[in-house]
Amino acid sequence: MGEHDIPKPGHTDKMISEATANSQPIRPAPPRPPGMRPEIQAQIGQQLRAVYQAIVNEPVPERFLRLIEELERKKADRS
Amino acid sequence: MTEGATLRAELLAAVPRLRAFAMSLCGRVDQADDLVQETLVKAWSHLDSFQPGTNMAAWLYTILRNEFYSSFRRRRREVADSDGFLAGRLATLPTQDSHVEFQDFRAALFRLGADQREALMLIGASGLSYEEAAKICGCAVGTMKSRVNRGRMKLAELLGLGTETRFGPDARWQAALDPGRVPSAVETR
Repeated sequence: MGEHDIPKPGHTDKMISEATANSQPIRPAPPRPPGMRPEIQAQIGQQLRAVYQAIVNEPVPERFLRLIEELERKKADRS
Repeated sequence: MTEGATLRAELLAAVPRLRAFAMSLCGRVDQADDLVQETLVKAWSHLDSFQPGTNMAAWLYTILRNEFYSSFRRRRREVADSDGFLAGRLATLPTQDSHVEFQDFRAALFRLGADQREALMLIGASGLSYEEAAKICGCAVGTMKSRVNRGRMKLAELLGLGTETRFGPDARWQAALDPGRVPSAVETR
């Protein structure tokens, strides 16, 4: 319960706002509000799409082309 | 047989997305492709239950997911092992800053619960709506939203993004942001 627990009116606020204005928003003061900072959400979204696209961009493996041909042939044989 | 040709083309066109979804469930390339194969066979035998004009990929995702949870997973016990996931593909990633970053992310993704990973892949990666994803997974839209949110938070925590991290490898990330707070031994890594 020292005196620095009590913010001096005006003074602390001014320091924070100067610090925020003068530096990049690299380390915002905790505690963070619930939810996620937009830039982090964007970063996660970009990585998720990268994981996904790495697979999606691959050519379709031969086995699936052959499989569909085979399924069609069986269907044709039946009818 | 133009209708058949269209269906065939649509099935084939959906294969890449099915593989990506299967990978997020199985965690392994070989198993994912087996799962996709079973999905295609199943879909083919139930083509009459597909309503033309609706989203075929969503229909196939549903079948794939049912296959995975009803039988596939039981037969193959080693689930969610990220070894082999995307193995050998790292050189073809144009959007990644570094392989390390990508591997860290992939490892973190596979430390999530299956339902969160699935939600992130369906919505965050493949771009389905919450409504579509909820329908595929048989849950409420609110549940899906919550899985996405919790999954994101967990990923951020595992990767040390925007949090005071306790995880070793991520100390480098912290060091880059705030050299004064991290021992120099970590910075030089």
